[in-house]
Formats: sequence, structure tokens, C-alpha cells
Amino acid sequence: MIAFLIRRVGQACIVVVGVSLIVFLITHMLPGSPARAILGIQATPEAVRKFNEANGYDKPIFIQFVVYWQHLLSGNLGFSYKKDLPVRTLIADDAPKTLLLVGLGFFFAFLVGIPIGLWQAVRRNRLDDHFLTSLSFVGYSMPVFWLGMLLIWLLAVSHHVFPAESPPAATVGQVLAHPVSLVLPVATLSVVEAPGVIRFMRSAAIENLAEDYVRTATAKGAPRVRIVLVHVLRNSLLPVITLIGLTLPLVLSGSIVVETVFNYPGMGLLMWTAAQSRDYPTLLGGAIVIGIATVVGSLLADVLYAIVDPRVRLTR
Amino acid sequence: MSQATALTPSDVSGAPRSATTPVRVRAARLLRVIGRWCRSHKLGFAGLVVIVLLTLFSFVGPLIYHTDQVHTHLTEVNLPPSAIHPLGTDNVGYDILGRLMEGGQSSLEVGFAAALLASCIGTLWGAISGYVGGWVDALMMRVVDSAFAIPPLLLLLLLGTIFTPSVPELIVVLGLVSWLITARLVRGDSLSLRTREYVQAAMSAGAKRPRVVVRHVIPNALGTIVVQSTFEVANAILLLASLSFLGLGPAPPAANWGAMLSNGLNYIYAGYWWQIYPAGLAIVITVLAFNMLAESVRDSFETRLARV
Amino acid sequence: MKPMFCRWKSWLGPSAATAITVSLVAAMSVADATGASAATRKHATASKGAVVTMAEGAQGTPNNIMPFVSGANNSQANTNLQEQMWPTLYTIGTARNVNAINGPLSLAEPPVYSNGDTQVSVTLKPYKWSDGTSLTARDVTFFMNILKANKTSWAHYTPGDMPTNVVSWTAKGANTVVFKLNRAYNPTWFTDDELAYIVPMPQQAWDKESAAGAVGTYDLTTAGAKAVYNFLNTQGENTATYGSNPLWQVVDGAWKIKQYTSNGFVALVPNTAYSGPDKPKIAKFEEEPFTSSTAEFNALLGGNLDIGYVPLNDLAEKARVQGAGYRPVRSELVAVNMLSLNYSSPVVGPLVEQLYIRKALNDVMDQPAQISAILHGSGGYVDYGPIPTVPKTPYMAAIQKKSPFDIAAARKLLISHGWKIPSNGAAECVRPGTGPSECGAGIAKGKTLTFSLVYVSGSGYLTATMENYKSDASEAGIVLNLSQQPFNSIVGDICGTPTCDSPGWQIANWGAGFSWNFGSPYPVGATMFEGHVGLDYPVPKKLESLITATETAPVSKTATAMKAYDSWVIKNDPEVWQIETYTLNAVSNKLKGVTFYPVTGNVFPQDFAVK
Repeated sequence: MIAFLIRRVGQACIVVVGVSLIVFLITHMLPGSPARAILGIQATPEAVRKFNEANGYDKPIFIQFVVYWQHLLSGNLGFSYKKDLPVRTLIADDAPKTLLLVGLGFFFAFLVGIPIGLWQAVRRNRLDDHFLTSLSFVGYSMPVFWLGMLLIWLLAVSHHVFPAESPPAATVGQVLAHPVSLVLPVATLSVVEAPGVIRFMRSAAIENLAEDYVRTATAKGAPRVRIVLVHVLRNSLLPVITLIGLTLPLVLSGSIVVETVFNYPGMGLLMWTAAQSRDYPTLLGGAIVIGIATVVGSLLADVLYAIVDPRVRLTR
Repeated sequence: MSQATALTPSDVSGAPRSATTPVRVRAARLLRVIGRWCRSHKLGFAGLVVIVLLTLFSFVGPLIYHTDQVHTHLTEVNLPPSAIHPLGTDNVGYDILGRLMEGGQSSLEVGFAAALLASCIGTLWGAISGYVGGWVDALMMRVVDSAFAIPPLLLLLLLGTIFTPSVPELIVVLGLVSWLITARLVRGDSLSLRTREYVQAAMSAGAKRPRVVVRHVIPNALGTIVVQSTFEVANAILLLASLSFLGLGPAPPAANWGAMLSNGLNYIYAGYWWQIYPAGLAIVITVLAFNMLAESVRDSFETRLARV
Repeated sequence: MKPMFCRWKSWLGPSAATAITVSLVAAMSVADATGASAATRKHATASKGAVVTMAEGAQGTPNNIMPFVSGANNSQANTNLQEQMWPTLYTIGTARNVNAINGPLSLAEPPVYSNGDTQVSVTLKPYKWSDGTSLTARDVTFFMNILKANKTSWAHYTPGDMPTNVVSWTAKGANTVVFKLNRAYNPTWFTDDELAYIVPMPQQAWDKESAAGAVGTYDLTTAGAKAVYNFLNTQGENTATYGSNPLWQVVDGAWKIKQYTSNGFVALVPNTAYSGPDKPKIAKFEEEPFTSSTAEFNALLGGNLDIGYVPLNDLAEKARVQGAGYRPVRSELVAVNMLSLNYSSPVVGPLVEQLYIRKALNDVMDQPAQISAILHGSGGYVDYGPIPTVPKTPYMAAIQKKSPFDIAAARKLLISHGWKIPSNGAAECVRPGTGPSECGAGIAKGKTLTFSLVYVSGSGYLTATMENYKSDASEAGIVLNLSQQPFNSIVGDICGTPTCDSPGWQIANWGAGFSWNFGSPYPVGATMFEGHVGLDYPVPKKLESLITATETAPVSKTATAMKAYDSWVIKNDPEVWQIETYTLNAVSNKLKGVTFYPVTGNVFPQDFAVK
């Protein structure tokens, strides 16, 4: 286990460096020079010089990367000149709200997806399996913004059931003060996430149903409902954990769109407004934070998986 | 599932068959195999049919149904469906049915081209990584992990602020964010192939590494590649739609379904349903068709592999 | 260089925001809809204790609270917020008369001009700061001293204009300031475009160089005034401390800031010591940020807002808005709207230098049809020149009233200047040369009439008008290759000052996203043509002298000078004119007293009351 942990954490560290390298390289792709792109076309040469000095841009590229890392390690993610705030503050304000949204989205996706996937595995290749497969594919195939707009049109405007937008909350607490305004964004995100859970659960359960222990239990006369609900469910749930790590980047992509549609004040909205205003420090800071979060997320999922299923330690 | 219904590697890859088999017989056999596959994979077959129909609709349709998709017609805006405009007109007077065909062309082109690009990069990357192994493999896979960690849409938002979106640039950018899964899967395949006898035999017979990769590793991973790139077509079409919604799509009068849908959604409260549903359904149906096809093909492969 | 009085308007929403001039540099904040929304989710039932929430413009959130605005921070979002706490010396425009000084909202009696319009005296009304001290002439001279020492940092600065054109400012008694000018100026111009930008600042609280330092008279020396400005500006940028910094609690306006969040949410509470005539009647005023007009409209129709706006895409939905409990209220800005041409582009520079090509480009813009088909017959008005069409002023020349749309005329112009127009594709120069029937200087044989046109992304209305423009232009052999970019990208790329030469763009459209908002009912050309970083037009001497005439003419000659300037500009069409949109605001039926002031479209929430 220790060896596995060391290897896996080592990998994650390399990946974090890789992520930072990608973001660092994008910084150098910015039109003009990073200083010009970030400070704006009107910046004085003096301001540009100061900026380059502070970020090491006047030094060789290798040193720049080192300086970039020094900044990262000291928690300095850059400064948003458009908002006159450190990027760290912006992200610290908005990331928890996205975590809440995405977390709830996952929760409901699992809540709905696990039973459906299990049911489909049991009823494999029957009519209802095909029907549910098609249905989950439809959910997957819906453009997120269309789904969101349809829900708003139906449930917020035509019938005032839920609010069409989120309150301009500064903190998670304030978001939770208006729980009904979370309903539509969370529902939209869940519909996007659920098909993945369903597919994953279905195939995991199918695999388990073919295992010896099921046959043994059946031979021993255990009721099928019990076998499925206790053994198969438990054993199939494990691989589904890793799905969180695997799909996190895609889900965060979806949350950019969902937050834009519902005016939800999270990271997605922050990134979108930053792109609109060419607020590069915020975009780059967001990319590195989300990147690292994803790496850590999948690391945790893997470790968790390895703890409950020792075979993994050997095969990876 | 019986052996006969599963595609064999040679059916897919077109690997050399007996030179003496007459072409007619071979074609007939292939047709029979496909026919059997279709019967046993109804959803996949349906997906295939839909894809063919959509492609015909988009590329052959305009030859039969002529519309002006270049000049605006401000006297005929927002018209509901009628005999002249079977699906009505949009907010600048374009005929929607004609525009669906135009939009279908670019949506499918972007989808296919991006998927093709992604498959090429992913296949080469994965094959080399898995075949060479060792620290090269470790390094190459960490690159994949790193790129995977940044959400594609965020990356596209960033790149969208640097490049002006045009169709060729979108293809490249979409291709660059979609090759990762292919690379992982192909690497897995080639890792396992390395140990196979015939590959080892080829190596000991003095075959060069690049040759082994091209002649053995890639053809044997072809099933995986085809399945994954089918998924990627669907993903690229969906991503293109999201990009259009976020204002990062190509500029008009170039049409694509995502842009049509998000443009139509501007008028959601006006009740111009014909500006929303045709384009929206076109996306859903296309993405659905590609996914069902890919799923079915994968299913056959998995059955085959499980048997081996 | 003249002041950059241009103002950015977001395409995302029409501008209900105040008349604040925003320089190009300030491009980031594109707030235009300062709609307010009395949040129904708070169920305000009585004025006392009622919370009114207003929708902010789509892209702009405040990032500097200090009312001495620098170019970089000159956004509508900032100035709109500042104005609630530190009103300008004069607010121009009343609900009835756009040209009048708004008495209740101005801190001083109307200015008195004397000595042949070379001297102005301004007498302050008896206002009090929230710390109990009186508003005095010293607070005005404090501002002027800061301005003198830091003029290049001021957003409204133009070489030659304030403070340079003011020889001296002296306090006469406690309440009067006398400005001596360096020559005679047109009083309308001087009041509307110069005095109206002065913001009295609390000298007794702000005249210091550091947070811990004591208040002094540092502004009297240049070095001191610079230090004071730097201190205040740094404090103003620190958005995290808006609610807590004691500096910002000393106000003479009706409101104080209570809360600010990094995503741009602002909450204001009444200044209990407010000494103006119009005391706040509600308990709290909030400004809520929206990323898109669609999101704003969803919230509006969902009943979550008290005051918002109807996006241009949704103008046909008036009945639905009324059904959701709002009354539509229209507000217009004193603004014009045009596509910018890049005269310094190596590719199309020689083309746009030619008057006949500029005329042809104007001839293929069908504004009336665009308004009727794309804007459902409302939402904007035609604009064929540099004098705003609405509100009506006596300054417009007759020549500006005719639509130039005529594709045949454009074809004729091009053909008669040596261009061959194919049935499909771009016209080609077949007779190069500088003669009257030839293409013109710098245009080689075989040169095609192709332009790239970049416009603001995300607006259905703007996309549609540009598609239509491209379509009509193609019929005259003019090929426009459209591309769309976020507002700030366009603004970032387009820059005509010597420090940022940008030859890449050819035709650019801030669209409804960008227009000249004069911020004053006196729309002089300096704001548009001279020293502006977005309009690349090389101003000829003739135009310069016509503009100077509009600033210095005696009152009796004002209209003549303006008309002469207007005629010249229209004859030369330096840019391509396009529709100017207005804002359709939506005000909750539960609210009364909501007025959108002309010129700026701003609201003053002290007027609001719950029915």
C-alpha cells in the first residue's frame, strides 16, 4: 500500500508540474507579450518594466518558470487588473460555490444513476434496458444551455415554480439561504452527469453479475433481490467512485455553461466574465487551480479505491 | 453473442486477406457480416442509418432544395413554417430548412475533422507511449494526465481570447482538446500487444520499432480507435454548440447547428419554436446517433476480446 | 487632444445607467444597464425597510470607488456608484428638459458667467457632509488642486481644456468659487462639458497622504497633491475594504456603501445625515451583477427583479414584461453610434482614405429596414451623423436627416471611380490612378474591395444587423468578412494612439456595445474626433477649427456653429454610421418615483418609494 501511495502521489506531483507548464506556456502565447496582454495596450513602459521584473519576465524562460512556481507556492496566483483584486481572493470567494453546485450535481446524479444502472444491468438487453439506455443518451446529447433554458422557460417563467437565477451571494452560506434557487442549476447539471453514472454502473454491475460469487449465492438459494441489492450493488459501487475523478474536468466544463445560464456566482461565471474582459490573470489562475484540484481529486479517488479494493494496488 | 456477429479485426482494419479471394465474394462476405451485426445491434444500426441520412440531408439536400443562405431578407424575418418555408425563417430571413442543411455541413465537418485529428494525435501518442514503455511511457502519459486536468471548455475559453474563431482554427482547437482519451486507450492496447507472440517474433526478426508500431500496434488498436473517434465526433459537435452559445463560435453567415440553436434561444419568449427545435433536435439526434453507434461497436469488440 | 468623452455601452443591455463618460481605456466596464431590481424575493411591502435591487450592466462591475476618476477606471459602473455618494457639482438634464441643469440633483446654484464669458462663479448650496461639516468652496478647490497636479491621471482630461483653460480658481467667501478662464468660452459647453465633471470632495477628511497620517493642506503644493491623489486612488482600488474604510463613509450624497463583493454585487444604505432635498425612502439599494442580458431577462420574467431592462432581442415581449408586473420605461442616451475605420491599416488604409468609398460604405447600410425587421420597429433610432438623433436638439443640420441607403448609388460611385463589380464577389480596381474617374492614391490595379469587420460577440441583434450589412454590401461588390469577439478584445486591439499602433484591424464595430455617449446634452465633436483612441480618423485643420468654434461661440451663435460642424462631418462621412439603440427599462409596478434621467439614463434611488 505504501509503495502504491508513493508511486501514485509521485505521479500526481509530476502531473501538477505538467499542468503548471501548460498554463505557463499559454501565458507566453498571449498576444503581444504577457505584460502587454495583462496590463492592457495603454500600459506605460514603466509599468511594463515593473511587471516584467515582478514576474521574472526579463529573465530566461527557465528562470521565469521557477519564479512562477515560487509565486504559486506562496499562494500568489497573480493580480486581476480588471477587478483590482488578487486572483486568489476572487477564486477563494467563488470556488466554494462551484464546489457546492458540482457536489450537489454529483449527489443527485448518483442518487438517480445508481438505481437505474443497476436495474438496467439486471434487465440487460430487454426492452426497458434499451429504453433507459436511449433515454440516458438523450440526456447526454442535450446541449447544456438548451436544457437550462428550457427549464427556465418552463419552470421559472411560464410557471413560477423555481427562481430563474441565483441570488448574488458572496458566500456558500448566502447561497444556501435561498435553497430553491439552486434547484434548476443543480437539476441541469445532474441531467448532464447522470448518463455517465448510469452507463458506468450498468457495466460494473453486469461484470459483477457474471462473477462466481453470484453463481455461488444463487446456487445456495439466496434470493436474487438480496444478491443484487447487497452484493452486486456494493461491489459495483467501488469503480463508480473513480468516475468522480475521471469526469471532473467535463463536469466543470458543464458548470461554466450552467453558471452562465443561471447567473450563478461561481468559478464558471468568474472564468466566463474573465474571458469576456480578457482578464488573463484570472483565467490563468483559474486554470491552474482547477487543474490542480482535478489532479488531487482523481488522486483521492484512486487512493480510496485502492483502500477498498487491494487488487488495484498491484495492477497500477 | 455469437462469434459470427462480432466484427473481426480484419473486417475493420482491412488487413490483408487471401489474394485469391475474388473481390465479389469478399464484398458479399463483408455485407453478410455487416448485415448480421446490424440485426444484433439494432440501436447501433439505427445510429448508423441516422448518420447516413443526416449526411445526405446536409450535403445532398442543398442540391435539391435551393435556398439563399448568403443574403439576408429583412422583409421575411421570423416567419412561421409555411409551404414556401417548410420550417419557417430566422431573425434575418434565412430559410431554416436550408440553413439546417448548411449548418449540418459545417457541424459534421467540424465534428469529423476534429475527431480525425484527435484520433491521429491520440493514436500515435498512445501507440508510441505504450510500445516504447519505460520512462518515455511514464512521461508521455503524465503529459496526457496534465492536459486532461484542465477542463476542455476552460481551455477553449482561454484559447478563444487568443485566436479569432474560424472553422479551421476551431477544428484544430477541438482536436487538441479531444485526443487524450484515445491516447490512453491505445496505450493500453499497445501495452498488452507488446507481449504478444507475433509482435515479439517481428521484433526478433529485426523489424524496426516504427515499423512495428505502424504495422502491428496501430492496426490492432484500430477497433478502439474507431469506437473512440466515433464518440469524439459527438463530443466535438456538442462542444461546438457550447462554444457558439458562449460567443466563441465562427461568425455568420457561416452556419452551424449550435449557433442556430443559441440564436433561436434569444427569442425563446417570442414563441418562435421553429428557430429552436429543429436545430436543437438536429444536435441531439446526431450526437445520439454517434453515441449509439459507438456503443454498439464497442460492445461487439468487447465481446470479441472477452472471448479471446 | 480633446477629452475622451466616449462611453462604452454594453451590447448586453441597454443603458439605464448614468451619464458617465467612459474613456476607451476604461473599456473593461461596460455596464450599461444599471437597471435596478427591487428584489421581489425580499417581498418589500412598505418603503420603510424595503430593499430595492438593481441589475448592473452585463459586464461592468465597480473597481474603484474614489470619485476623481482615472482613465483606467473610468467605467460607467464606477461613476454610477460614486455618484450616489459624491454627486457632481452639476447634473445636467431633467425629466422634461434635457438641456436644463437639474436643480435638486446639483450641489450648486446655476453658474454665473461674466466678463464676456471669461469668468464663472459657482455658489454652493448649503449641503453638509455626513461627518457634520459643511460643504464649502474649499471642497471644490481641493478637487481642482488635485486635478491640477494630476491632470493626466484624470479621465476627462484633454490638453488645452480643464484645468489648463482655467487660469485660476479662488474661494470667495465660504460658498462661492470663481473660475477665471484663459479666453471666452461658450457657456453651454463650459457648464455641460467642464463644470459638470467637477466632484466636490471632503477636504476635511481626505486631504492626507496616508491612512495613519493627519489631515492637512497637502493639496496646496504640487507634490502634496500628487501624494494625496496616490493615497486616495490606492485606497479606492481596494475593493475589499469598501464597506469598512472610514474615508468612504464621509459622503454628501444620499447613500453610503454597505457591502461590496468581488463578483460586483453592491449594497448601499441611506446616508442618515443627508442634507439634500430628496431623502431616501427605502432601506437599502442593491446592484446585482448579471453576465448576460439573457440571464437578466430570465430573472426579470421570473419575478426576481424590481428594476431591470428588456434586452434588445426581446423587445417584442413588452406584454410579457407587463404581465410579469413591470412597466416598461424608455431611456435614451445622448449618443451616436458608428463603425470605426482603420485609416492606418496598410491593407485598407488607402481605400478608406477615399471619400467615395466611405460614401459607398454608408450607402449600403439600411438602418430603417434593420430597425423595423430586427428591432421589431423599436429599440433604436436611425443615426446618420455626429449629432444624436434623440433627444431633439437645435444642433442638427438638415442634411443629417436623410437616409443614405441606396445600393445603386454605391455601385455608381464605385464604377465611376474605376471599379469593376462582378456579379458575385469583390469589386476590382481596373483604373488605378489619382484622376477623378480613377481608384485613387495607393490603390493598385487589381486591388479588391474586401474588408474584415469585427463586431462584438453575443448579441443577437448586432449579429443580425451585421449580417444584413454584409449582405447589402455584397450587392455593391463590397466584401465584408465578419468575425466576432468579446467587447474587450475588440477594444484591446483597436487603438489609434502612437503608443499602440494596431494595423491588424480594418473595420471595427463596438456596435450597440460602443457608442459615443457625450455625457452631456451638448454633443461637441472634440469628444469624438480629437485624441480619441478608437476613431482613427486623421482630423483635418478644417474640422479642428469647426470644433473649436462650437466650444467658443457666443450663446447666440451656438446652433450655427454646431450645424456647420455637423454638415461638414456628414459631407465627409469619416466613419460608417449605424443604429443607435435605446434602453427599455422594466420597473416593478410596486415601485414609484423611478425616473431615468435623460442624457445618462441614470437612476437616483433616493427618489424610489414602494407603493
